[in-house]
Amino acid sequence: MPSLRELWRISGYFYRDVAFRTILETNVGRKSLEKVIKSSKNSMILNKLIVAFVLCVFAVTTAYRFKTVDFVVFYIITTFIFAFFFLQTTTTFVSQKFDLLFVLPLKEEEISKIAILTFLRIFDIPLIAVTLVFVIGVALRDFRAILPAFTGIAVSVALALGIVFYMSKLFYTKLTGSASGWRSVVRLVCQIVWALSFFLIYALGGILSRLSYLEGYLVFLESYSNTLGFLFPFCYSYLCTGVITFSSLLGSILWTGLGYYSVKWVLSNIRKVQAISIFQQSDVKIKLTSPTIAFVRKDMRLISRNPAYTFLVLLPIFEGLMLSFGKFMPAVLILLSFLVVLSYSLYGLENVNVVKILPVKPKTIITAKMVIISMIYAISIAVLDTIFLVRGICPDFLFELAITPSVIAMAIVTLSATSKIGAKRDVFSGLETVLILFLLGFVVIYTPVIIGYVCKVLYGTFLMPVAVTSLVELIFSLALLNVL
Amino acid sequence: MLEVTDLTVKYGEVVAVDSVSFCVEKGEIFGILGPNGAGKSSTIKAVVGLVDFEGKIRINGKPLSFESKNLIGYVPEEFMLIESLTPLEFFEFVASVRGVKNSRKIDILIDAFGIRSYVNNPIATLSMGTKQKVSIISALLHDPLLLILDEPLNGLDARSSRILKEIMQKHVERGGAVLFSTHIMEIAEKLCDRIAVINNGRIIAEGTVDELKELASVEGSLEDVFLKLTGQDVGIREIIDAIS
Repeated sequence: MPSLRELWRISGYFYRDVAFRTILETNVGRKSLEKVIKSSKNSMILNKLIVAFVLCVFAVTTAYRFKTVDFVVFYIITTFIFAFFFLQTTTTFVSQKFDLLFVLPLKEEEISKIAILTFLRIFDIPLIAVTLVFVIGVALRDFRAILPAFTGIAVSVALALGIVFYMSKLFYTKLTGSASGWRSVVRLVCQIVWALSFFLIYALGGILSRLSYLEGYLVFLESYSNTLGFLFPFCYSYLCTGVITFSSLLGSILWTGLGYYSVKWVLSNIRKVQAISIFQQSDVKIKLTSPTIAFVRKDMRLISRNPAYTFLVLLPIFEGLMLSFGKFMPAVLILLSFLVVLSYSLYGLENVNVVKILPVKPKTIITAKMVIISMIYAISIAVLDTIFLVRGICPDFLFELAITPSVIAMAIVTLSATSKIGAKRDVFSGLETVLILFLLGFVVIYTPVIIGYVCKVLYGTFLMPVAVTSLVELIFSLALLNVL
Repeated sequence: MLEVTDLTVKYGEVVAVDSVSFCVEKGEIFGILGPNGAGKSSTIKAVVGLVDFEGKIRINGKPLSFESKNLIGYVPEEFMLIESLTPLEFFEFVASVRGVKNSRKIDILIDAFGIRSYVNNPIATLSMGTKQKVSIISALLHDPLLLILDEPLNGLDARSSRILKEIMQKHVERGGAVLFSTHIMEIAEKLCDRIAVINNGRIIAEGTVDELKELASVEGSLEDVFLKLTGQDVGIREIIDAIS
């Protein structure tokens, strides 16, 4: 029977696979696998160290100040970070297959242990670091507080593991399920929440700056200690600081029980992960469409399943929202530049070999992506205009209309060039290629604007030159599309 | 149905296929046999337009083109699937792009290969055998005239293998053609009307199983013929004795 150390070592291989697939999920385009492997090793360790550092800072501060509110904040932050920060990795873990191990001379129980250890590896550094630092810190201040402090952090982590595992299972089902009807919308919402967890680390600074407000509320709530003692994490916080009441004692016992149940539930589900099949009998409903619509549908499905693409597509809309609090013209011009990036990146959705064996012309693929870019442009502009109207500023609808043909032309030209180069080599690896393609897109989209401003200076007219140049660009790009 | 003349495929300086010529007639299953790295898959990839080549490839009398791609149903050796899609979404995509008007055949094929339970799960999560079935169904759903199957039985269970073999035979009975590559000699011997043996990028023998036996002066099975023709029979006995 392999020792625990041996099982831990085996779980390392599976953890590296989970980490690799998580990083792969968040990459746009076809980055070389070597780069992804390298970045998966580095970024996973870096993320763990950052989380460990942040939590340890909280642990030290809490142990030093030794106030009830500090303990409350510390437990809440610990639960929150463990529940959300590793959500993407745990979602990958839920889909992890351990069937490879069944051909090895291992018992089912040992395979279960490997699966559990793989799951624990996701949290290992921050979990060990924060527990040690917090318990030692508390012990140095008041030896009697060790037990409630340790139980408090154990329950925080146990509850977080329950939450993160439940959400992972939910997201895995929603993100990978079929795309019919309302499930597409649910999946998109899940995708956004799921992807947001990846950016949590960037929000940590903001969270920390808000803590002083939270503390204010908690001091006020302390007067209700008898009632709050039933609640997590107040029960443990009171016990740590020596406020021993009936409610805090009972609350601690109840929440410890719940934490135990949470861990038990997670462990039993992890055992299922390595053995069960999530497949279910399915209905077959096939909607046959035109090739262009088939590509649009396929792209939308891929976008909604890949967080990197979801964000890329939503970026112009978010930008539209953010820029709408400034001046109108700069907002529109910046928005247009995001569409160039989007046009180039959308090519990464195409599996070149699949396309090669199908009777499909580049024109079909480009038209499909152009439709998606036009939709994103329309939604971004609608968001932008709505906010401007709410602010009492009338947007320049005529300019938006005049530049629309140029947006379509830019999409066609950028995608045509990308597909032409992409047929021969990888368009996502060379910086030179990227810059050329970006430049091409920027030239197409900003030429009407530049000509418009020149004409404004020379002849005092802006809109007409923009519209004419934009239309000329569209005519040329459509001619180009027909040649492909 | 398929004429290949002086086909050469190069990867940089390496010549993978060297002036290969053969034709596959209507109503015929044509097998390509060869050791690993002999050039079988490169030949097939050239025929379906996946790699650049020199020489001539004509399908139904016309050069390889956009239109001719719809005459071909191709099962590659390595999966060419969009792994984030579910099998159903992938079939829907392929069928729509190929201009299929009726989805009934997809429904029948899903049941034939027993993958109804998996059609709404991402392809990435499926087993190798199920992925192979998805690949086969997507090659058959548009009723192609020419089936090009590169190691199609890889990972298939006995039932699905039988179904695929029956499909191949029915296909040629209806006037279609099959270009088929395999390592399993028994299946090639049983299924193929004619066989080309390819080694080091060149066709070294071509004909019916009986013609190949005559050519190699071997009385045994196709496996014996193949080993003799490719020079791989040398030293087998010694190796087995050494292992024993």
